[in-house]
Amino acid sequence: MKRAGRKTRGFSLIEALVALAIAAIVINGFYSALSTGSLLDRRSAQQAEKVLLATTVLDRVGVDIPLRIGTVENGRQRELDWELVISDIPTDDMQLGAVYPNELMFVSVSVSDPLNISTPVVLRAIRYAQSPI
Amino acid sequence: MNRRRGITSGFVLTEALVALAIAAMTVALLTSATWGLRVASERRDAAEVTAAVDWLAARRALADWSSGVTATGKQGTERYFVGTATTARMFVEPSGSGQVVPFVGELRVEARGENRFVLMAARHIGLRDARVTVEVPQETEVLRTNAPIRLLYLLPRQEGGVGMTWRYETGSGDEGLPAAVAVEVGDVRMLTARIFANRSASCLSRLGPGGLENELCELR
Repeated sequence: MKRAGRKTRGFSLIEALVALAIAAIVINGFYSALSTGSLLDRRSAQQAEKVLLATTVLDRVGVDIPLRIGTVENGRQRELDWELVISDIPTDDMQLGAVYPNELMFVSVSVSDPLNISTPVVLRAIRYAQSPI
Repeated sequence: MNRRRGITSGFVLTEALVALAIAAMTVALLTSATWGLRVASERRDAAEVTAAVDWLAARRALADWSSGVTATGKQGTERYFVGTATTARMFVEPSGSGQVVPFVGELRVEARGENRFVLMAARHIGLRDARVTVEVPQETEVLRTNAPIRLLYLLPRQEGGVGMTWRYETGSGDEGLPAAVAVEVGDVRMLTARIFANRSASCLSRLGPGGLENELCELR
């Protein structure tokens, strides 16, 4: 009799609450994994956009933008701000050996997103001084 | 009596909580399904145009080709490089330690439906003349955009002008190799690749160091 009576009693409140809590934890974990993945995906796409713009600007140096010490240019493209700086290299400091003054130049391109305060992408390259094409 | 009273007393707390929980889970499922559909739709839209990572790969390929462009001299460059706004063909002699078979590289813009443009890259292996192609090249889709793609070439100004200018076609080829090739999407120049070779390697090997001063060895 006791056994039969226990069967018909159903879930207790505690059992239902525990089940609910477990379900909530599982669903929460699932959601947070999804949203984190989506966020990382978006961030990496934004980072790639910045790198692409920086390389595009870097490729233009010596073609459209003169390779000249002191050149500072900036602009806006695809909703991103870029800044290019061409400076000389302190060859003594960098221990580059026998290098003529102003023979090497330091080209630096920085790309940042004005709408999103995140770390800007900065690409730097060392270029040989050459006659403009 | 007890049992009858239980039936008529309506929901008990447990039943109400379970019903609430089921309702909450249903709402959560519907919300997540809607969110998932929206994300999937955005991804599909985004996949129809090339992502920045693919642009970086395209840049690398273009730079690789342009660094291997060569010709035998300034005159008759059209055998080695021909270009229009929608097609560029160039004779490429790879210098890496991997594959060293020369080929004619081709960049071709194709319009596919409304606001759908594709940049195809093809390799015509074994050919040494940019004016001809083979029927079945090795080709691959490089870029996909929703704005027109155009190819540009950096060449000397015409009619006695000084300096260089970007043009949509290479012309007769008398000006020699272009100094750079670029890919433009809409009105934005996306990729720029320099062509570094300015002396013919075969000419230099034939004439020796004197070839550096010889006009016949100039490529532009």
